[in-house]
Amino acid sequence: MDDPDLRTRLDRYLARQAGQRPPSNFENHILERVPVAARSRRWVPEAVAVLVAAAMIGGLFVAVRGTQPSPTSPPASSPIPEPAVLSGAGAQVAWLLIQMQDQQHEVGIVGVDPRAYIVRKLVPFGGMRSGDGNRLIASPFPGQQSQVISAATGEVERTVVTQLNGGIRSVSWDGRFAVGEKGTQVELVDVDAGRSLGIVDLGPAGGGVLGVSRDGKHVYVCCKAQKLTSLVWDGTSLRVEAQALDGKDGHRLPSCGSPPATSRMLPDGRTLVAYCPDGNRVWWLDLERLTVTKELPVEQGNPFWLAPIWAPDGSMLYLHEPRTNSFQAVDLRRQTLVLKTKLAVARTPDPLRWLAERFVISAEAGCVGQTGAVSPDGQSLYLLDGRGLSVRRLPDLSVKSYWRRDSGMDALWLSGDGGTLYASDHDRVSVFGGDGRLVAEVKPGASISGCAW
Amino acid sequence: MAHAGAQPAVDRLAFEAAVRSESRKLYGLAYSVLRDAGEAEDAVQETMELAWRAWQSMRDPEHRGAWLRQICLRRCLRLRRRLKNRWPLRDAEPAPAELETHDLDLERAFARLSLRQRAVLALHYHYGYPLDQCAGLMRCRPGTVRSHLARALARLRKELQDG
Repeated sequence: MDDPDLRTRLDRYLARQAGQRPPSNFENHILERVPVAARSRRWVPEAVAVLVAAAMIGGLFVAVRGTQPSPTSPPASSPIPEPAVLSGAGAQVAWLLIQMQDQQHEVGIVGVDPRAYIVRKLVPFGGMRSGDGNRLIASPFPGQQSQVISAATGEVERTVVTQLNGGIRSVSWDGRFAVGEKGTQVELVDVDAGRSLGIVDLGPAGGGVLGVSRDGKHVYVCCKAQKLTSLVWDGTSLRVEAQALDGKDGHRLPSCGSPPATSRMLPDGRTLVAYCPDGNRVWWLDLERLTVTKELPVEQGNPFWLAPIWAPDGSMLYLHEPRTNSFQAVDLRRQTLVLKTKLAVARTPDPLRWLAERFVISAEAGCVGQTGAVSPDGQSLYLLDGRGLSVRRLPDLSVKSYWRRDSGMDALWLSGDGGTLYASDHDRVSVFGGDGRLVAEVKPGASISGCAW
Repeated sequence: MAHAGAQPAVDRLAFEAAVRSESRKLYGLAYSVLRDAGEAEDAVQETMELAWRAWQSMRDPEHRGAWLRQICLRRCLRLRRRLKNRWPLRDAEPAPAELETHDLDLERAFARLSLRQRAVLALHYHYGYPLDQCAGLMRCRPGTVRSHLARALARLRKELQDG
């Protein structure tokens, strides 16, 4: 080559490319999948022996841990796969954030059922919904206690007597446990029993409840004072189980400067994936080792624009930016960005709309309007793509059909069984059956923000 | 009695050793061409599956590395064609993770090259294969490889000047 500068740059670049490394257990994955016929048979006795030995060692390890808890390696909750299809009655009802125009702009939620009937309006409301979709846990308002509300009927199931009266920050998948937070204090609540299980004051490390394990035994708090804390409920009290300091002993915490916009526990029961709009990152947190195993940069124009869309089986996270129609797909198992594309450009009926969008940012009340939803079987994506409400095949995003074109819809919510799709615009909710038939439209008499619980 | 279709234990052990010694090198090659971690993993996985099926045909350990690279390279080119149909506009821009590499201009220019152009650059300049051997690995004529190389370099120069 007669261009030494290009040759140098090329050498450096190619060396960097060729120096890329696969995951640490890459070879084992290959060997597991290659059909080496006799190997598995020949190794059966050895494998059984290894498993038995591992079980014995594991039992011994657990027994030892019972008396000598490790300072930095808490046991994660046992893996319990979350079902992709949520069949409970409550999981079929959409609960959407509303803002009342005639009551000092109070924020609440409205429930709409698959027949397009309004289930109930809860104003004011602050709180969370359980992962199975069946319960709403309301944060206490001044002078009140926290309430457990049926997502199916909107009725109060019970009042929970908490000591802290802090805001509800996390709810276990089945809604049996909730975590409240006030200042630096964290409280674990047994929702079924309607009582507090304990409070821990974390001091400088407090503030920033990340989640609670499905069995309600572990609470994770991150990342004040550069610490990630694991709390454990041991049957009698809530206490600090382990604490990791960023950069020490191999622990690495998320670089995110703010709480994640959305997070989800992976089917392995020990990995929490979160999208952090502040740092343009998706990160994977190993709750057993209390360390970030991967931070993946994604592109976003504005933190309030990028709508995260989870595949129900926890395998993929899609990120859709409705203003630009950029679409990214993150493979959560492989921890890689598998797709980055731009969908067809949205039509802009108003010639000055693009100008307005550059200056007017509609930051909603603490959440990003959901512009997409994935069917429980992971095969279809419902997406507001600027041209209307499209149904697309996954993974190639090819359009199957448009259920509505040129609509003013700005948010979607899919029922837990995948049979009902709710789409909202400023003051109206359109309810579609699974075949795309419009069941009805309903106006809840409030401004709808586009955020769903 | 051996299982029907099963291969001797010595083959299995040799294969396992090859997986452990060659997979990462193959991954580097695949990544150089495909520029995507997931696709590179798939390419190496498929390479090893194919290699195992034909393992008994390659008895000479000294040539196994080159043989695996040849399979991997061909799988990369075929895999890429297939995935291109699945993932639209894949090549539009480098992935965000790749934007962190230092030479962004070269990264963008490299992304615009064809797969064969990338492959010949990687094989010739990084792995040091003479062009005749590149042709063997890529299953094309030496003249074609020279043409790929010349066009790749010309395009890189142009993109870098324009960029």
